[in-house]
Amino acid sequence: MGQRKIFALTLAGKRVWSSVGDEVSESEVSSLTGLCTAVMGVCEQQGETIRSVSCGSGRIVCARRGELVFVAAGSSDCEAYLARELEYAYEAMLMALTSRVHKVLASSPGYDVKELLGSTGTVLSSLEAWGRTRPEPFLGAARAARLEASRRAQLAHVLASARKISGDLLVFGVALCGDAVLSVLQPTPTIERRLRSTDLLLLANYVRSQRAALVAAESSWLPLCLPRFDERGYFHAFVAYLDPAVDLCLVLVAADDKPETFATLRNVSKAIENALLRDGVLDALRDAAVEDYRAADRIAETAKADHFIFSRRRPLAAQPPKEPRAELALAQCLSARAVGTHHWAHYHALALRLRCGSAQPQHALATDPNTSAHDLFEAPLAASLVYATSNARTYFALTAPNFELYATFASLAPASDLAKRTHHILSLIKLEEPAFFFDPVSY
Amino acid sequence: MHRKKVLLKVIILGDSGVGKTALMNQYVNKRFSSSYKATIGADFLTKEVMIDDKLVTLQIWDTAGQERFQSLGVAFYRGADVCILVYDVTNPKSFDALDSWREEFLVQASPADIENFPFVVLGNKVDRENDRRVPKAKAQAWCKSKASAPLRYFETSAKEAVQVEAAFQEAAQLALAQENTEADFLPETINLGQPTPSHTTKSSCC
Repeated sequence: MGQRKIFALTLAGKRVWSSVGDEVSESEVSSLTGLCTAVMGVCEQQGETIRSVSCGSGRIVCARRGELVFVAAGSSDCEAYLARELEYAYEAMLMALTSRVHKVLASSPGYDVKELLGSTGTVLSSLEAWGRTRPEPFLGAARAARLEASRRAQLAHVLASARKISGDLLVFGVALCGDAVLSVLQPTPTIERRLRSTDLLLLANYVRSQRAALVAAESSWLPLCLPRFDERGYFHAFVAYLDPAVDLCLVLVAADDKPETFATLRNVSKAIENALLRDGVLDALRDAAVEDYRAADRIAETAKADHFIFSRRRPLAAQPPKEPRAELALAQCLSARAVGTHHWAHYHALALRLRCGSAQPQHALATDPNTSAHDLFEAPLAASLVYATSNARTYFALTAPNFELYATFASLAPASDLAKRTHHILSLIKLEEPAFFFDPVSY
Repeated sequence: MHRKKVLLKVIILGDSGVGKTALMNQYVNKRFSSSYKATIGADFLTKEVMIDDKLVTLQIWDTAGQERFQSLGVAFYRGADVCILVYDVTNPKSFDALDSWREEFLVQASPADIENFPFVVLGNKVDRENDRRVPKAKAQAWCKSKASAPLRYFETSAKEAVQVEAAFQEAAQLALAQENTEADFLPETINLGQPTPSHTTKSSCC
């Protein structure tokens, strides 16, 4: 079975997309797709749902989503991990097709959705590649670009002004630096309706996967669904690269596709660019693009860690008596540059242990009260940690209600030493929190 | 030359023992075995063919003719592009059953356009001409009575590879002609005034 493979199929067993691409012929995958849909169909007729099949060292994980079936086959990944990959693949597909695809398939089960998906199949392929090497899908968080707080505030002000210039046509505005997010403009979030971090990371992936075409076009007007926000319809996104050399990109999202809306957003984009140039913010954004992973790499180096990834579920400074706004915060992540891919399998294993409740209480490592996560993040009792050693490395995970940290240390250090190094990473992140993470601009 | 890859799902139906498995094996593997083994549930084989400049993969589902496996139908029929109905020219009962096989398929597969869904009818075992008990004219009349355009009819022998290739080629051609003619994908712009779908409010994170 070897390397993980992902397939999206219709209930008729027709391939819509697969991670192996079009180079593998239909007849080569037809046995797997036919078998999966038949087994799922038979199980459903008996009132059962099939989630996974173990076969030797391999595993096949299935998920039915409406009129579509998602299948992951692999030998080294756990079921929970493969299931999450399938969820991302489904949502990336909704981003391109909306949930209307189910209506079409319900009325015509033999419909060739692959043709409908067309070139946006590359969006799914790009996301699948991310899943193997990047922290965003693993943490369910968009990666934030580091930017000095004062510059970030200027950018936020420019985006807020852009909404006014657009005559309220602008629903969302996202400034991207490569696939990292610099700032977000959004409607005031509510529990029912808000921009989710998954939508944001899917959007960043979409732009990244279409980079060549978007840069060549200068400005583009794309129908895009934000599936977690509302999977039923398209937004329309004006995408323009402010500086392709450093991948500075602006995504302006409206809720209609009128030509005059496109014209308005083009003017808004120009106004944003001018404002950023005038205030010297654009240069700061260029510096942020060049900086990319470096700040996180420095933290890893200072704390003598091989690698770490960190996700902030809500502002670290927020006090536990929950503010409604804090509950609605966008999850954002920070990552040191990964060298090799050995971290991921261990992080996945640790995450699984955390979910299964086999974590140690957090005080197990906090022999010194000063090294407790309590002081840093006001999340004492709910925090839990796990660690494992392998090939002279220690892999470590610490989760609390407002953050997750996964780190790799190149030694079999004693527990107290691990605690100090972890504390060091956390304190350095907290020290620079306003630069590492953005607070969305809400209107 | 543009070569588009397409998967077409072909379902073979008919009474047990009419030669469905033998026809599929003859078409895909060019083999025939005179020993009879009942199909359990369903089986499928694939074959790539070129039709009108298109590279097409036929996923051919050979279903069990025995009644005890009929309840599995919907799992296999769903999304079929063409259905091949098979009877045995030496067995009138298998010919009489074609009506119920066709109806069963249309009910279970519920294609969008029932009137025009493509069927191909095969009268198999013509190598046993001396034992024939279903006249060709009777079968052709039945095919004419089922739709405004008569269902395509072939007299085949899986044993001697008579008309097998032509019958499947015709089935593939009909299936390809059906492709994406039934539904249109009409994208809709989001309506922000519309109430939020319930499932998005259930998930609190990410």
